[in-house]
Amino acid sequence: MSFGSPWFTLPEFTYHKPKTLKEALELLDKYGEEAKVMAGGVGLLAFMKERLMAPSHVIDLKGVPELGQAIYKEGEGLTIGATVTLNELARYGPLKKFGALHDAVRDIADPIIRNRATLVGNLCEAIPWVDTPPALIALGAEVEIRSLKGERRVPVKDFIKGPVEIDLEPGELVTAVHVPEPRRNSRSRFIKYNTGSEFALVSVAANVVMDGGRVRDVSLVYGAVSSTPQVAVKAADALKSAEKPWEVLDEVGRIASEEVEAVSDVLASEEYRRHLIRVLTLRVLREVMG
Amino acid sequence: MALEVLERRPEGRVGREALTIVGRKTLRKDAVAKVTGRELYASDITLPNMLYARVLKSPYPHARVKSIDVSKAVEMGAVVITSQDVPQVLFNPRLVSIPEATYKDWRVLTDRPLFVGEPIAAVAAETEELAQRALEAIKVEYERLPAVFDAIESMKPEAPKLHETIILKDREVKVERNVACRLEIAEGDVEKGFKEADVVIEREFRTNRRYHNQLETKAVVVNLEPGGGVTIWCTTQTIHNTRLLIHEIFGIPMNKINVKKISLGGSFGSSIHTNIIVPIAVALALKAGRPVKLVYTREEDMHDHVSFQMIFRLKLGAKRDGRLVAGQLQAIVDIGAHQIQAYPILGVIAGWWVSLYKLPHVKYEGIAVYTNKVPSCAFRGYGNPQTTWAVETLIDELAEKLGIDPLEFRLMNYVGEGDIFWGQGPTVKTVIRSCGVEELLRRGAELIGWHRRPKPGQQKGRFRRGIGMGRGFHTSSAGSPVPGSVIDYSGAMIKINEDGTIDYITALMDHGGGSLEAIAKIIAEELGVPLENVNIITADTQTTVYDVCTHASRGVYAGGATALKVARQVKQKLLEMAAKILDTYPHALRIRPDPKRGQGVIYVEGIEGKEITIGEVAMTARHKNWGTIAAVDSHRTEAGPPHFTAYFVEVEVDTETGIVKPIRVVAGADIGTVINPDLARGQIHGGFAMGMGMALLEDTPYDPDTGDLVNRGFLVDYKTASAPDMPRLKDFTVFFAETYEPTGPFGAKGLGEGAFNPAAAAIANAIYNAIGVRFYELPITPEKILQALRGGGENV
Repeated sequence: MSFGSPWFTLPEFTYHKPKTLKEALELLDKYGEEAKVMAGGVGLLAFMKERLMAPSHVIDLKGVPELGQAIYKEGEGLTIGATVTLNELARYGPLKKFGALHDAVRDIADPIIRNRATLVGNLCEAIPWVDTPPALIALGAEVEIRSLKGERRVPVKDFIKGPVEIDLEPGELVTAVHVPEPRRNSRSRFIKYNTGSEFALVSVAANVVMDGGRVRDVSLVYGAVSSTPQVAVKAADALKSAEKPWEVLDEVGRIASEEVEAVSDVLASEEYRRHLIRVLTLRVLREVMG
Repeated sequence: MALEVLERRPEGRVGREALTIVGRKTLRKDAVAKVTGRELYASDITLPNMLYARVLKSPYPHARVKSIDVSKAVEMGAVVITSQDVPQVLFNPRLVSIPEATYKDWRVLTDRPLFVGEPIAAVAAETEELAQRALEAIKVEYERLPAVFDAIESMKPEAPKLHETIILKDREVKVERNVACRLEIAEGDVEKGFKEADVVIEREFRTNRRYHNQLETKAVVVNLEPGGGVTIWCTTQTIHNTRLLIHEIFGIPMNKINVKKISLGGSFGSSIHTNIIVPIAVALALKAGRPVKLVYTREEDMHDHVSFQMIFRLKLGAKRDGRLVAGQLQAIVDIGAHQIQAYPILGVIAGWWVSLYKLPHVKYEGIAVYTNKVPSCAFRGYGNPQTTWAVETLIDELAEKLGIDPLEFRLMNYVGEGDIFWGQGPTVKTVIRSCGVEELLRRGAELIGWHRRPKPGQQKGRFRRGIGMGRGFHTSSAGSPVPGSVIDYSGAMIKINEDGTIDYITALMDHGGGSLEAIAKIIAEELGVPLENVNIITADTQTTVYDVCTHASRGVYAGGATALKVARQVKQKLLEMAAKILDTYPHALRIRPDPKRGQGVIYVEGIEGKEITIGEVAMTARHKNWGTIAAVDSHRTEAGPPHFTAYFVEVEVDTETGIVKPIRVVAGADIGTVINPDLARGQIHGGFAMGMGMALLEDTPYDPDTGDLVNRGFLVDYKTASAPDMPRLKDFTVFFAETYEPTGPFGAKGLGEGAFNPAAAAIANAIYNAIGVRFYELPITPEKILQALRGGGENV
């Protein structure tokens, strides 16, 4: 509020629109920390207007054709390019195989924002309350990173290091997110809790692999509860080790609500968030195990 | 008239022939322009050579500006104003009350800001972006002062002082303990009353501070006229009071200030007063010598206006047979940093309170308190939703304690026909002449299944449902048989064009709810012309007579009564001329709309050939030089009658998350004759959505460290009810009582505020019915519900 309103003007910068991936990587290499890449611009421009970021160079990726594709290959999984928008992804048929991601993508913000915002942008913002990271982590997704020096892959879980902090060096570009083919007998869902506000107070993604009556494997990931997505390891172990998993759901919810980090803010107290973690864990497990 | 569908013909009304236009569903006159984006709003006005303005605001809740360096901004080519460049006068931006009830403590720009967001300086430049960059180049050195964010804390001796002296009319008033003003009222002997009571309950209630969230943010465009005049387009509910204030601050003669009427994208009370950006833009335009446009962002708008937060201590006593005998109310009102209508709201809180239920003995104390927060102003219902929530909660409790059905308890004690109604506080009193309360309560109870509702606190399981009710009212205008402390009269001019079409010219504003649409129907009904022949003229202060303001649910009632009065004068002239032409007498003539001819037709009943269209009369008048058939007049209604409403709500409480979902609503309204059925229903749907926000979602808390709103003005962090949160339309029943208000135009009363007032109370009572817990602090958030359920169902 110090100067009239925030969200008003952008700091000055030079705009680049490369036509090839090589050109984009060269620009990134040249400007290093001075540069930020932009896909939909939904997150970046908001950060810049609030002066949380003031890059001297903005590199717009929308001119690079190979970054704009979502490709599913049976047995391998889904690769989502850096400029694929949430609505493009939501309309892509094979997304339905990835239940948790399907849920998360379809319910972010509103159609106007989903027409501009991209999945990779949503992930790279690393804002604590965004919806796609918990789903991606539960599905075991990886980030594909390229630079002039080469290529590397990082699990989404490790890629998000803190609030608005990601594992990306100057000169590097996230070109895609890769979601592996769901395992046999697996099922995943994402649920978020919000009321009168578009942002989640608590969200949860669950991915289970059933084996007869037992749970062979499970991943439980929570969003909007703390500064980074939270993985509930002990709760998952309790569920896996149970001979009759349906009978321990309450206990699993309780363990999850105690083991993960949770904070208080304007939307909810820590106590209420922990309560919601317990409730949402029950709900999501009933859906994926049913 | 093809689009008109006859919905109902209120026949057999007292002294009225059947209505042909009033009460029909019709296409709104502004509908096409609005849905095609052609309607103009203040921010659409663009003038040649215009500059764009931005406002520099205080980042601190309380500070002194030690120095301000604008040189960089000036170098960039911007025109800059600071507190040194504006007239040094204290004013109150709201001019609805008489001077004796108007406390002044505002300046156009200040060097002692009292809230985060208070304007310090302003710039104008060739583009909005350049203006913003120039603003960022201004260097201000502040001395930060201690601040206070709670009304109770603010009255303590150690609290920082916000104002030393303020002005009431023309005299200085010393401010003690940050009390802006106070009001005490007593009738009967309240101590004696409570002694006679068999049951007495006393509770403390705390309401939320809600943001108006009107669609259109505040905007203004100022043009300079040759000879020192200014023309102003702005978001306002009153063009005439805007002109008066600019005259008061800048001393420009009133005939050189022209405020233009322009569409308003909602307001809900936030522009009854002249928004501070208007004098800022005038000062900038005068200094720059060029037109200036200033439009607030949503974040700025949220730092500009808010509802009053109230802390009530309410005590009610009743006899065992169910008669209320005494009531005592203390209202501490957090008004924020400046007075907009602090004194009037103290009066109306008392008025709303005593006009709900008959209380032989009453004692009231209202205290308005300054805090370092965004200044509070009127917000749909003007203190009535807050008061009604407290009263309707306590009435429910009392009924339960007495073992009487809450519905019957209300029917035993409500203020109704023949009783005195305090429309707008103690100086505005009216005898109630129409009242549909019993019909609303009985029919609403039947429709919702009141007598099958569960017993409070008996349910188990995850989802618990409950039914609650709240009833209330709002005034229709601040009219009264004698002058009060609130100014309330309207003006209208009506002329018949040479082709028989009608021009209706008024300063009365339409906020988007369709008030002027209703008045066009009233005129068409009276003059006997098709509705499309009545044209609502875009007007301004130069071409209209005074109209106080569109507020207090007075548009249709008082504005409509004024238009009807003028229409009758026009009709008299018209019939005199027609009588001359037809060789008959004015009182022997009748008029009927003739949709085929697209005209009103004047005729003598039963005699063939004795008929002529209004257009033919008007054209003949021109050819014979009889003059224009027109009239202009002012009108003060002799009453400010209540329109009554009742909400019956069924909620479902999810005890796992604490979420409350209204799943069924029955809403009844007594608004006299219904003029626009669809728009009236729309007011009720909107009123309920707002009531849901008040009951369950909305608040604007402050961060004591920064002194700013916790949400910093971001709408994503301000929760309101949206369409998916509402009950389905098929589960939302609206009905209207069959009443007729003898002082209203064709029997009509207001609706806009009554549609909202008891909604939050009904939801709160429904929550009690579902889970057996009462809440005395708004909003009733999911967290509070879970806490209460964990606490074993204690009231909180």
